[in-house]
This record gives sequence, C-alpha cells and structure tokens, in this order.
Amino acid sequence: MNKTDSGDLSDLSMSDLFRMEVEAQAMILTNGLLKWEQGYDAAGHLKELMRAAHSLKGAARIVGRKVAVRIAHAMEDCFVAAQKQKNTPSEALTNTLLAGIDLINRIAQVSDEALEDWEAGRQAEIETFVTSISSLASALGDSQAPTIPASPDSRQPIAAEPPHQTLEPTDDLRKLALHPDRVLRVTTENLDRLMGLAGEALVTSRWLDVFAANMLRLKRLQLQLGQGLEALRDLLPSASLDERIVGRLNELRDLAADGRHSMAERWTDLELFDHRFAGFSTRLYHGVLDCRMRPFSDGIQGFHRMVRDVARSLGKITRLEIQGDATPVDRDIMERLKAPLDHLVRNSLDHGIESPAERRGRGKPEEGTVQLQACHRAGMLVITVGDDGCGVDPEAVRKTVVQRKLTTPEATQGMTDAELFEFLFLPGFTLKESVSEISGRGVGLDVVQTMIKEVGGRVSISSRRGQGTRFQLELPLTLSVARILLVEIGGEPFAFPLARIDKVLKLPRERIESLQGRQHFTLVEEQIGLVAAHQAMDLEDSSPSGSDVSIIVIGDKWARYGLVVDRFLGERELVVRSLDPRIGKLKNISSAALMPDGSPVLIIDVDDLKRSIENLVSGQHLVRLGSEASADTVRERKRVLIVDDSLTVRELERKLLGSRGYAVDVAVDGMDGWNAVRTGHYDLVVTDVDMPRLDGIELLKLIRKDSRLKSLPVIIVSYKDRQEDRRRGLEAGADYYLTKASFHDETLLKVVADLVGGADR
Amino acid sequence: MTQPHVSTGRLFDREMPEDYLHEWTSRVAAKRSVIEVGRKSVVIFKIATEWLALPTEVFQEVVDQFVVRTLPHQRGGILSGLVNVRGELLLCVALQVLLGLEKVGPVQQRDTRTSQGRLLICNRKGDRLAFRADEVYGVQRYHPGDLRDVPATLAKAAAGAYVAAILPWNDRTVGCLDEELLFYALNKGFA
Repeated sequence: MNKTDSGDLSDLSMSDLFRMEVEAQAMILTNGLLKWEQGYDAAGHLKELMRAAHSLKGAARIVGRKVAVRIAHAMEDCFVAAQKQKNTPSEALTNTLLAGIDLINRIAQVSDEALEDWEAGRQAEIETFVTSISSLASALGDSQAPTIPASPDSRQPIAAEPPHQTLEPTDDLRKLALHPDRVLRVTTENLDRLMGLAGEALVTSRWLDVFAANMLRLKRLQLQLGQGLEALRDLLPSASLDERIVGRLNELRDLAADGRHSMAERWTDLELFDHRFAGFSTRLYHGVLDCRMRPFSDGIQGFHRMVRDVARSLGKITRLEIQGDATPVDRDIMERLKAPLDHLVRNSLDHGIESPAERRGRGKPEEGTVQLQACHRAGMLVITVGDDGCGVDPEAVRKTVVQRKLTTPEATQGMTDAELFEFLFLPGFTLKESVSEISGRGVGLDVVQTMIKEVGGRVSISSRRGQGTRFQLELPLTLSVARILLVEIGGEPFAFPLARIDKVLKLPRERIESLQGRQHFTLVEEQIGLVAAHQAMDLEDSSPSGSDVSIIVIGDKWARYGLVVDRFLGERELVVRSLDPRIGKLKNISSAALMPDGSPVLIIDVDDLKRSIENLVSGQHLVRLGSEASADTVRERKRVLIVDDSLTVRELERKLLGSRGYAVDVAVDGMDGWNAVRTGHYDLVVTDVDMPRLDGIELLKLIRKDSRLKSLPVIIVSYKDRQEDRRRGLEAGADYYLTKASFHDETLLKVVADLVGGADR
Repeated sequence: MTQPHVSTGRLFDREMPEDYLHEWTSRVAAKRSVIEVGRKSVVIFKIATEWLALPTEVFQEVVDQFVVRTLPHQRGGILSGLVNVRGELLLCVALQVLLGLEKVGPVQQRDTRTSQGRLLICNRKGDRLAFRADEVYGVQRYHPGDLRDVPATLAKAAAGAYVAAILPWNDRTVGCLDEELLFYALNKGFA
C-alpha cells in the first residue's frame, strides 16, 4: 500500500499533489526508458511508459500546467510511434526523453504564482524540446541511422543537461576514493535485521552454557559408575572369584575409564567451542552495533557556521570549541540530538555570552567561548554545552518562580540552586523580558528536555554567576540496546525503559487509601494516584491477590501516577527492535525486544501510557460515548470507492465527493480496487480505464460477474472520449461513462447523486 | 583397498557415449510444462472446525514451538500478536477473526504462553506474517479441474468472499482461500 495514499492528503494543495505524482511517474518513466533502451521486453515497457506519460498528461491538465501537458503529450506520441516501429530508441532519443522527464520535474517544482514567468523564460527551450522529440521519434523507424538527430543543433541545449547531472555522483565517488574510510550504503532495514540476527546469535550462544552444565552431570554419573565398579570388585571375596568374572570386571572397569576419558575430552572440546562461539557472537554483536555509530563531528557540521552567524546578528564575538569530535554516537541518537543541541547553543549565545563591552567591563576577553564536548563516561554518552558568559542568576529564577505562583516564597528559600534551575525546564518559563529572534519565548528548554527524555536521557544545568552556564546531557550509548524493567501485566511480560521510571516499590495493601472511589497512596509526603496497568492497556485482569502490591511510579513532578502491575520479573538489557511498519504506531507501545528464551516482549511507550492514564482518569465514560457516536455518523454516510492510478485525479475526486459528504476510499489500480470492493461495503465505484495490473474494464467485468457485487453502480471516468471507448465501457456494464472534463463542471456530482442519491443513508 | 578405488575411477573417467550430450540437451531443452501443466499444490490446515487451504508458494515454513505475545488494545482484532521466528519479529494474525470463524468452535485455549497448534509463516512477495492453525495436514497436489464452485450460500456471505473454490479431499471438502484478497484484507486490517 502506498503510504501517502492511506494518509491524509487533504492539507496538500493540488500542485503539491501534482509534484508527488510527477515524482512517482518520473521514476516509472526513467526506469522504463532505461529498460527499453536495453531492449528487454520492449513491448511491455513501452506500454508502461505510455501509461505513465498519459497519466502525467492528465494530471498536468488538471492543475493547468499547459507546458507539462505538451511535453507529456509529445512523449506519449513518441512511445506510440515506437510501439509501431518495434525498435530500441537511439541514444539521442533516450537522452532527450530523459531531459523531458527532468523538464517536467522542474515544472512541478515551480510555484503557481511564478509559473507564468517561468514558462515565458523557457519558451524557446520547450519548443526545441517538442520539435526534437517528434523528429527523433519519427527517425525511430529508420533503423540505419539512429544516432543522427534530425536537426543536430536543435536538441543541444537540453541534451546537455542530463550528462551534467550524472557527473555529480561520479564526483562524490572520486572524493570517497580519496577518503580513507570508504562508505557503503546499507538500508536501515538490513542493518536492523543483521542486528536482530546478531542478537539472536548471542542469545543462542548462551544455550551452550546450559548444555555444558548438563554434560557435567553426565560426567559425574560416569565417574560414579567407575567408582561403583571398583566398590563392587572390593566387595567380592577375591579368593573365590572365577577367572571369567575377574576378566569381565576388568574389562568393564577399562570400559568405564575409557568412557570417562573420552567424556572429559568431549567436554573440554565443547567448553572451548562454547567459549569461542560466545566470544564470536559477542564480537559480531558489537561489530553490528558499531555500524550504527558515527563520529560526533558528523552531527554538528553546521554548528561553526551557525555560531558565527548568530553571534554576529547579536553583535557578539564568539568562538565555538569542540572537544571529542571523534566520539562515536549512535546515528539514531545523533539524529534526535541535533535540534536540542542547536537550541542549547543558540541559548548560550543569546542568554549566556555578554556583549564585548560588558565582557571587557568584567575583565573577560572580548571573545566569548561556547564549548561542545562529547565523551563516553560510565557506559553513557555525555555531551556538555558550556559557555563562559554571565551565568544564570538564582535570585532572578526565584523571583520569577514566585511571581508566576509556581510555588511559595518560603518553599523557594529552602531550594538549592540545582533545584531552582529545574524550573527553567518548565514549559513557557523564561527569564528574558523581551522576546528575541533567537530565544526567550520560553519555548525551548522544555522541548529540549522532552527530546532528551525521549531517547532515555537526562539533562541538567549548572551555572556560576558571572562565569558561565553548563548544560549536561547524559544519554544512552545506543538506542538499540535498552536497560529495562520486566514486569507482568495481565499475565504477559512487558518492559519499561529504566530511564522513564521514577520509582519502583512494593506496597502493603493496607497502605492504599481511597478517595472518591479513586485509590491512592502516600509517597514521601506526596499523594500518588493508583491506576491498574491492565486497565490502562486494555488487557485482561489477572492481578495476584498477595499482601503486597507491585507499583511503578511514572511521570514527572507535575503529574505522577502509580501503575499497579502483577509482579516484577527483574531488570535486563535487551536489544530493541522496531515493530512492523505496517501496523503503524501501536498505542502505549514503543517497540519490542526478544527475551533470553527467545520469546518476544513489548516495550512500553511511557509518554503514551501517561496520556492513556490521563484519559482514563478524566472521565472515561465521556470518551467512550463520544467515539461510539462518531462511528455511527460514519456508518450512515454512503461509501464511494475511487479507483485511479493517478494521484492527482484520485485526490481531486476524493475532495469533490468528500465535500458532498460521501465517505470516500481510494484504490491505486484495478487489482487494488477489486480487493477493496470485495472487502468493503460500497455504494458506488468510480473507476479509470487505463491502469496497471488490472484495467477498469476488466475490473468492471469482475464486478458484474460476482454474485454479491453485480448490482453495484459503477461510473467510468476516463480521458478516452472516443465513441468506441465509450461503447466498450458501457457494454462491460458501466452505469455511466464520463470523461475527465466532468470534474470541472458538476457532471460527476450529478451522476453520483443520480445513481445513489445524497450522501446520507 | 585399491581395487574399488580404481574401478570407481574407471566408472567416472569412462568415455561419454556418443549421443550423451545430445540426449541431455534434448532432455533439458524439453518443455517442463508438459508434465507440470495443470498441477497445483496447496497447504491444507484446520482452523476451528474448518479445513482451509492456501497455495504452497505463500508459505515459508511451519513452526510448532512458538510464543505469541499479545498486543494491548487489540482484543478481538485481526492482529493477535507478535512472534519470534528465527530472530525476526513477525506479526501474527487471527485468520479466524477475518474469516468470521470464532463462532464455529473453540479456536485455541486462552493461555498464549505455551504453544499449541502450529504456526504457519507466510511470505508473499516479501509480505511476511504468521498465523496460527489448530492442525496442519501438509501439502496437497491437485488438478485445477478438481476445484468446485463455492456454494451459493457461502458466496453470498461476507466472509465467504475469501473462499475462492472448494477442493474435495479425503471424503470432505477444503476451502481454498483467495490469497490475493486475504493478504490485501490483512494488510488493510493492520492500519
């Protein structure tokens, strides 16, 4: 399924949709052209090419891009001609067609307002293109001289472009070759898969450990067997022994000794192998983990420039100092760190560093310094952003806190500086009186904290009046391994990231109090409301009836909840796996992991869960009633299925019918439409004719043959307006045959109303 | 010891018969479809009380040891959970929900921690997912001519749309599922 299709496209303008469609069709055209040039399955590719050009033409017509219509039309003509000739294209023709794709791509990038000027400026280029393409296409039949264009100079300006574009990657390659670290592109999907397998290998290697321990028991049994034989021999009176018995006993003793010996050898082998295998799997695992690492300097490339520009605009002189730029940082963390770091540096420049005059007055060098430092410390990535500016005044914070009635003046007196600085992370909290371009809006530090928390890290401030401020970020080394607390909820294990847990405790049942039917308990002078985890997650209730209740406290100092789980299972370090993208974001779940025994476990999205709890606490009945009511209104509307391979047409029809209140679904081609129509209950189908996989006529025939669907009204909307096309559609059983011009007047809407009536049932 | 060695060598090193190459060329070049035509195969499995079948090529493997981890907020939905198959986490779907079979009989015990039945892993053009069946019979070959039309009562029912044809098998019938539609509906059901 096309993601953009299932998503909400209603916010996009028609030209945005056109741009998206051009991107998609250009890809099909380019690939098809190259295949056609190579001569494989020319007929099949030409058909595809024709369809793509045709769709482009239609889409361009809808958004009024006349030039694009002309180019697409010329291309389509060329493909039609080629179909008759059955020749592979000349190099010149391929180049020109590729140039045409680029041209349409460029047209799609031009905004509606600038379109007229743009077209006027390129009139000549476009004319040249159209003539050269038609002359080259007519030369197709002439198999002898395919490389000579009809008018050599006419195609020069355009054909000169594609080679220029292909040069760029070669340049990059050359740069790479010079660089000692060769770079290989690997998709994240592949890397994740490798990561999973490496993690699995590590888990599997531990099984050998258990196996070896069992072998040890076998070894002991063998030893006992030997000892038993010896004892037996000692018991027998030696004088009266038959020679045969003695011989047999000796034989047995030797056999047992042999067994012991060879057992010991095998066991040593196994141990050695276990050792080696465990070593390899660990190294493999860490090797794959390292693939996800990039040096810190990669993530902060633009910072020097940014510091210079921002400092200048503020009339300050500042230098950026970076330490530990080779520190490896997980690429996922790096990605999510850029924005908070950028913010902190801007913050330092604006709030921290003083103007040159002020600095001179305080006996500091005129040039201020902002320091960025990255290092690994105690299994954490520590990044500090420091400046040698004016620092934060604890008194000013205290004053603002009291002014904004966040706490009482008495309470602030007892607070340490560190506790006071915590308030800086509150949403909307600012010490600046004026709002500047750079910072001071009071949005920012709270966002920084949220983003750092999201990756399982912490941020803290330390500051000295007049000497500067330091923000210290502590982050996990990688997002792919998480330290988690395993708990059982509703009879199934779940994992909470340790970084997101406030406290964990076991509480005797009698300490739980009740207020207005809601349970809570007291934790260091604070009342914490209790919520059953299984209820918040809509799981089955299987809470044990012991005397103690297992509670996880989550949230921050402004809203804390006690989550009641069945039991604690322990702390672990697990490899984090992303969930199948097909299911989208699962409520309350962030990702999954594999337990040492190989069974999957889900990792809780604590922020999401907090929101679920908030909803649960604040009148769940209201929410439930609301959702049922809205479901009913959806059911009452008539459902229309739109089948078209052009994104632009699909969205246009969707908007058109949606505006009249119909519930509209879309399908991207005939096959998709056939599936949709059989699984959903539709009142009407609107379909195009020319589509890949299954065309509209075939779709219509299938619908008319199906016993449940045969009376479903179907409207065909096509560009083809010849009498024979129309007859073909109606003979196949279409209720109406419209041309795409019908969008511009009310025809389509009238026909729909005629067939199924208004949108309401 | 040398005797068999020598004779083996002689066997392998012997000269090729004159028409050897020709014989094999004609055999390799012969159209395979002559034998294969019209032969298709399905994997037959049982969910609740119903025997169903899907084309063999959509299956990757069948697993008997597995743990399905329930996903929250999905009770009674198509998505029944997550399973680990050789280090990869796959979505497990409840075919019985999609096909409306829950009412037919007990599909599985409530306990999801211990495995029961079989887990069938599908891989249809890279589209991977797993589902649980109570029993798996195995691969069955058939001739397209053996297929019968779906009874009208079933064809008219909403869930019946997934059964494309009926295959007689061992004195009973098996519902051959329309894999294209099934996967379409499953993928759509996730969103």
